[in-house]
Amino acid sequence: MEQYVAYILAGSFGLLSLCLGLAMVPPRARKHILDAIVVALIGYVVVNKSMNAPPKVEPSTFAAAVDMTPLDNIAVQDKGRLKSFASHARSLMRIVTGGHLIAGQSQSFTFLDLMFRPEAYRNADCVYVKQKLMRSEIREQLAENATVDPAILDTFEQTGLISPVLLEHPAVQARLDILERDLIKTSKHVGQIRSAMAVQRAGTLFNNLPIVPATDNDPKSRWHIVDELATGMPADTSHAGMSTGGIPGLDPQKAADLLQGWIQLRDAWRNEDATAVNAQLAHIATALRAVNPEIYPDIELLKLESWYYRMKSMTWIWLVYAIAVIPLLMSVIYHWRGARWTGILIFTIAFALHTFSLGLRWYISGRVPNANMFEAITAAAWFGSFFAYIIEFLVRKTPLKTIFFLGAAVASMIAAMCTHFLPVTLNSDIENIMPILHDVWLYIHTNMIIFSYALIMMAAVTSILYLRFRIGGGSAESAVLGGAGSLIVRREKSFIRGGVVSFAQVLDGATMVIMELSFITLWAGLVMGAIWADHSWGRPWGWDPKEVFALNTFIIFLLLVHVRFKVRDKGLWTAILATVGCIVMLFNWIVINFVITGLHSYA
Amino acid sequence: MSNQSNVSDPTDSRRRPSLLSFILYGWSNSVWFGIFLLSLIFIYSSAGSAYPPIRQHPSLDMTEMEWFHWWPFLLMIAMMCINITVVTFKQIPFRKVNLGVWTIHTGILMLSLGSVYYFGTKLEGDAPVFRRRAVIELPGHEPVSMLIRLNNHVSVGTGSDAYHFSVSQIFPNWNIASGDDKGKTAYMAWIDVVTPTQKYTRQLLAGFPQYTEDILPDRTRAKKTLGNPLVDDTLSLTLDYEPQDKFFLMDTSALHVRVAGADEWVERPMDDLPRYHDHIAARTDAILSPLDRDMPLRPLDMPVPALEKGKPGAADDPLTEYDVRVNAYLRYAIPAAQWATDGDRLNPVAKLTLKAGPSARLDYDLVAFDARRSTAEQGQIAFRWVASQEALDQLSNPSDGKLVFHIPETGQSFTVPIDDVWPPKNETPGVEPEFRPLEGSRYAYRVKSVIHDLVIQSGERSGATMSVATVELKTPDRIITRFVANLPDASRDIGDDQRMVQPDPIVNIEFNTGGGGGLTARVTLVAGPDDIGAYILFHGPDGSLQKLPIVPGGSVSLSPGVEAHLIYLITHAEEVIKPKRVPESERQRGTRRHYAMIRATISKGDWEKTLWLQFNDYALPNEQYRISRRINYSPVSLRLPDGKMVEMMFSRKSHPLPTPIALESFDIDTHLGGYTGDTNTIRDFVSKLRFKTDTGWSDTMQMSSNRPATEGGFWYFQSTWDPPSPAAGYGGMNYTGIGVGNRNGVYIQLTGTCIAVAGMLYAFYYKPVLRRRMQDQLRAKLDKNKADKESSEEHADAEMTEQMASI
Repeated sequence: MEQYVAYILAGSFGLLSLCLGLAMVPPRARKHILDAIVVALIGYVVVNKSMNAPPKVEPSTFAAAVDMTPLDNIAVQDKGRLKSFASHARSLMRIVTGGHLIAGQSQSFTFLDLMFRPEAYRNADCVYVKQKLMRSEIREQLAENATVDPAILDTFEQTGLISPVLLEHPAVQARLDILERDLIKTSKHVGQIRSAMAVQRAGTLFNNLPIVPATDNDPKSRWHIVDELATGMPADTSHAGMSTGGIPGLDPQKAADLLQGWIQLRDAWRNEDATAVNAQLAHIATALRAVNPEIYPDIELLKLESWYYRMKSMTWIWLVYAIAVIPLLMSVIYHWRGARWTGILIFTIAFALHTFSLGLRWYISGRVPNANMFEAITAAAWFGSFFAYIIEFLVRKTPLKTIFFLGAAVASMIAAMCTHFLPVTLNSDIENIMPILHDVWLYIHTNMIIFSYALIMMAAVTSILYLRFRIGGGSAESAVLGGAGSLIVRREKSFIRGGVVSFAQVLDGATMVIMELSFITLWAGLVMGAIWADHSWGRPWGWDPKEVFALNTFIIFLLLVHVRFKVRDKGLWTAILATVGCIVMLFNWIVINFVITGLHSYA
Repeated sequence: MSNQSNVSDPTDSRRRPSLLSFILYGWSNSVWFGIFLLSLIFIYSSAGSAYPPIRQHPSLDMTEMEWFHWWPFLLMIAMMCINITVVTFKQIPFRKVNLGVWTIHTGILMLSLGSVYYFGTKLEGDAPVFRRRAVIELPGHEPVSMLIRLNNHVSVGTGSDAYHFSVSQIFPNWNIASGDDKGKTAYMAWIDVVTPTQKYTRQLLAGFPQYTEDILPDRTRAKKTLGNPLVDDTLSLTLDYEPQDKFFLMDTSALHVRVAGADEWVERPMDDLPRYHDHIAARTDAILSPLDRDMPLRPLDMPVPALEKGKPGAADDPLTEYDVRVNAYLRYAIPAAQWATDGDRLNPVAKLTLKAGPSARLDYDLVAFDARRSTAEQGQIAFRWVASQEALDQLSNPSDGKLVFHIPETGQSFTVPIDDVWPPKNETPGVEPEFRPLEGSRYAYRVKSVIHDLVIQSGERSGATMSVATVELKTPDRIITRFVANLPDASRDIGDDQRMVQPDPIVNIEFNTGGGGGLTARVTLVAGPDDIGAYILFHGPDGSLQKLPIVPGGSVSLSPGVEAHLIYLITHAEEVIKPKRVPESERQRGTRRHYAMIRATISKGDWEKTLWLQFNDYALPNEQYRISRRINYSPVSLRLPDGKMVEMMFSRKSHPLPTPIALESFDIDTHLGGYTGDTNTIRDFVSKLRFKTDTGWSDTMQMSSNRPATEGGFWYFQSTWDPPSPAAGYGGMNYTGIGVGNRNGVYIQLTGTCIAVAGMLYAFYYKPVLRRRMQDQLRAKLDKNKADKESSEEHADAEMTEQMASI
C-alpha cells in the first residue's frame, strides 16, 4: 500500500518538476523538449522490450514432427465449461510458464511432454517466477548454496524461467517458506511459484484432463480422466494412480480401445516416434468423440477456440491501431487528404479485426464478453472505436473530422497493448461468470460504464494534443459553444460551420463533444450500477472504493463543466481537467482493481 | 450552463462583498464556492477511500460507511445543496433554455434528500437460516428438539431409562429411488437412537414424513426384518423448520449475556468499541510476537451498561448488579492457554521434559484432572495426583482391577482380573494383546488400555474422576470397542463413525478398579500435597517399578542418557485464556473481525473477574449451531460470587426480523459437469424461504443471487452458504446465509438520478436545438427590420449580436 502512495507522490513530484522546468524555457524550446522526452520514452520501452524478449528457439525434430492438431481440437471439461484441449493446455501452461513457450514448442505439446516425460523437464527452465523480488531472492539462495553457472542465473533474472530442480533446492525452499509467512508482501508471490510447481507435475496434469465424455446425456454429468477407463485392462504399472472401476455405461470395447490408444501414445511419445504419435493422436481424438457423440461439442467450435488462442487472443491488433495512428495524426495536424483516407482505411482494418475478435469470443464463450478485466478492456476499446465512426459521420463536413478516429485509435491501441503485454495480469482465459454477475444489469451497467471510460480516454487524447499545442505556443482559443452545441447551432455561433477555425478550437471542440457524452454515460452508468447493487448487494451505494472513484471521476467532470463556465481560458482548463479525469479513471481501473480490493473485485 | 452571459455572478462583478457577509451568506450564491466545495469533496472521498489508514487512524477508527457519514462530509454535502439551491434561484433565470440546468440541480437535490432518508433509516445485516430440526416426542416426556447438524446429540430421560439421539448422517440431496415420488430429491437425516434396550437408526426425509423408517444395526431395514418400518411406533421423530427470527447488524458490536443454560441472550450494545486498532494497556496483557515489541499501547476503559429497565430482555440480564467494562481490544488474535498459579480450586498441572542427549528433547504439558491432557504419547507418559500417602503407596504397589461381564441373553456372568492382560507383561512391542474367550459364551475380549483419574467434563458428575478401560469385545459377527468406566452409566461404545454412542446392550461390562487404580504408563509423574511431594514412577530396565523423588526445576535419570526434568508443577492452576496477537504481516486478508477479541472485567464491590472473549458473527443459542470454519460459537462461562453461572459472548447487535423465516430448501445450480469444489462451476445459489404468517407458513419464496425475496418491508439476499467439503466427508448445505436490508427512500433517490439524466440530455442536446430555433426566429425578425432600416446597418448588427448572446 505504502509503496503505491510513494509511486503516486514520486510521479506527481516528477510531473511538477517537469512543468516548472518547462515554464522556465521559452515556448519554442518547450515543445522540442517535450517531444524529445516522449520520443525517448517510447524508444526506451521498445528497446527494453526487444532486449528482454527471449531468443527464438527452434523446436526439436520430434516436436516439429508431431502434429498436435487432432488433439488440440478435442474437448476438455474444466471449471464448468467444455473447452478445446489447446485452450486448456494454454491456461494450465500459463500457470507454469507465465505464457512463455518452452523450447519453441506449442503449449499443448509441452503439456503432453511434461505429462509423458517429466524427467526431461527437471533441468529445463520451464517454471516462471513472475515477481522480480522473488527472482533475486531465489538467485541469492542459489548463488550461496548451490553450484550453478552464473549465466543461468542471469538468464533467470531476465526471463523469470527456472528449472524445477533449482527451485526445489532446499535453500530456496527454506527461503520461500519464510517469505510465505508474510501475508501482506510476499505470500502471494510464493503462492504463484508454488502453484506453478504443482501444476507442472505429471500427476497434476494427468488428473486435470477430463477428456472422456460422460456416458449419459445430462450436461451436469462429470467427464472422466483416462485413468478411469482402466477396467479389465492389464494393470499398467507406470500409472501409479490407475484404479479399477471403469466408467459406468461405457462400452468396454470402446474403453479398452481408448486406453490402449493412450498407452501406445505414451510409449510412442517416450520413444520419440513421431509417426506413431501422430497416428495415435488422430485415433484418440476420433475415439473420444465416439464415446458419446450426442453431447460432444461441435468440432468447429473447438477448432475456433484453439485458433483464437493460437492467434494469442488477437491482442496484437494494437499494432494495427498503432499503424493507423500515424496517418491519422498527420491528417489532423497537416490536413493531408491522403493521410486521412489511409488512416481511416487502416483504422477500419483494425476495427474489423477487433470486432471479429470480440464476436469470436462471444461465440466461443456463449455469453457477452464483458465479465472479466480482459474482456472489459477489449470491449471498452471497441465501444470507443464504434463511437468514432458515428461521430465522424456527423462531423464529416466540419473541421472536427478525423480527430475522433485519432482519439479512438490511440485509446484502442493503449487498451490492446495492455492486454497484449500483461497476459498474466489480464488473463484472457474464457471462463464462466460467477453467480453474482448473472444479471441483465451486468450487460447494461458494465457496458455503459466502460463506454464512458473509452470516451474519457478519447477526450484525454484530444486534451493532451491541445495541451501540447498550447505548450508549443498555440493560441488560447476555445470552441465558443463547445460540445454538441457546436454541431447543432448554425452559422455565426457555431465555430465549425463558417469562417476560419483555429486548431485550438478544433481540439477543444472535440474534447467537449466527447466530454459531454462521457458525462452523461458515466452518470447513467453509475445510476444503473446502483440499481443493480440495490437488488444484488442490498444497497444501491456502499462507498466501495470502486464506486467512490467512479463518482470521483464524475466529480472531476462536474468541476470541468462549472470551471469552464467561469474561467477566461476555457480551453486550457477543459484540457487539464479532462486529462485529470482520465487519470482518476485509470487510477480506478488499475490501482483500485489490483491493489485495493473491494466488492467490485470481479473485474 | 455553457453560456456565460446568461447569469451574473455577484461575487465577481461590481461591488466586492465584505468577508463577513461572504461567510454569513455570500458563499451560498457563489459558483466558485460550489467549485471549491466539489474539490473538497473530491479530496475527502479520495483520501478516505484510496488510503484506508486515514479513516482507520486510531483517532477516527471509521468504516467506509462511517467516514462518509461523518459530520464534515455531511456538512459539505449540506452546504453544496444550499449552494446549488441559491445559485439556481438567484443566478439562473427560469427560462426554457435553462430548464436542463434546473432539472439537473433539482435531481441532485432530490437524490441528496432521498439519501438522507435512506441512510438515516437503513438497517442492514445478515443471519444464517438452518434447514431443519428434529422434534423428538417420547411418551411421558416433553417434546425435545435437536438441530440437524452432524454429530448433534440430545438425551431424553435420565439414568438407565434415558434415550439418546444423535445425528449420524446428513444427505443434502437424497434421491428418492422408489414410490410415487421417485426421482425427487430431499434433505435427509439419519438419527441414531439408543434406547435402554436397543439401538437403531431412524431415517427422516424433509417434506416426506411418509418415508420415515428405521435401519437396524446390521444395516437392514426394519420393514424387511420386523415387518414394520418403525422399531418403536410410540417414539415420534419428525423434521420441522428451524426458523430464524432475528438478524445481526453489520459492523456493530454487542456483549451478549445470559444465565448459563438459558435459551435467549440479552445484549448490551458496545457502540464505542474500537475497530481497526489494538487497545491494551500493557504488553503483558497479550502474548506478543517479537515483531510487535514496539506496538503502541492504548488503554481502553469502556463501560458496557445494561439495557435500560423496561426494554425488552433487560429483566433477564443476570449482570445488572455488576459493573461490566471492556478494557482491551485486539483486532486479530488467537486465544492461547496459560496457567495462573493462584486458582481457587485444586487443579494440578506440570510440565515434564524428557531429554536424551543434547538435541533430543520432548516437552509434555500435563493436566492431572483432564482426560485428554493427563497422559501423552498414547498413555506412555502420565501425570497422577494423589491425595494421601496411602494413595501414593497403593500406586507404587498396584493391586488388581477386575472386569465383570454380564450377558443378558444367557444370564451368564464372568469376572476377570484386569492385570491378567494389563499392564502387559513381557509384551512384544507392536503386537496387540490376544483376544481371550469368555468360556461358555459366544464372546471374547481383550483390554487395550486403562486410564485412571479422568476428570468428567460436564453433566451432573462434572469435576469427579473415573477410571476407564478400553475393552474390545468380539461377538460372532463384529468387534465392539467400549470404554468401560468404573462409574455407572459412563461407559460408551465407539460407533461406526468413530463417535461415542451408548453401549450396545448385548453385553454389560463393569469395571472394578480394585485398590487405587493401576499404573499403566511407562513414566508417571505422581504429585500430592506439600507433605507428599512429587515422584517419578517408571518401569526400570528389569521391569520393576522404581520411584524417584523430584522437585520443580530438578531432574532424575531414567536410564543412562535419558533424563526427566520437571520444569514446573502448579497445584492450583487456573487456565487463563490469553490472546496471542498475530503480527500484521501474518494476518489473512478479508477476515474482517473474525479474529477479534475483547477483555471484559466484571466487578461488584471487592469481587472482580477478567476474561477474554472471542468475536462471534452471530450470537446463536447453543453449541449445536457451530459449523466448523464457518460459524463459530465461543461463549465464556463465569461463576459469580453467589454461585450463579453466567455465559458471555462477544458478537453483534441483533434486530428482530419482521416475521420469522424458515428455509425450505437450499440448492446450487451448476455449470456443465456439476459442482467440483471449484467456485467457477457454480451457476447460482437458490434458497427457498417461507415466512411465518398468521395462519402458519407462507408459500415458498425463492431467493438467489441478484433475485432477493421481499417480505415485511425488508429485502432478503442470498449472502453465504454452507459449502460441502468432499475431502473432509462433509456434505454441507445445512443452512443459507441471508443478507437483510430495508430500503426506505430508494425511489426518491432513483427519481432524482433519473431527473438529472433527463436534465443532462436536455442541457447538452436539446438546448442547442432550442437555441438554433430562437436564433432563426430572431434572424428573421432582424432581417425584416434590416430591410426597414437599411441605413443603420452597423447598429442592427450590434443589436443582433447582443440579442443572440442573451439566448
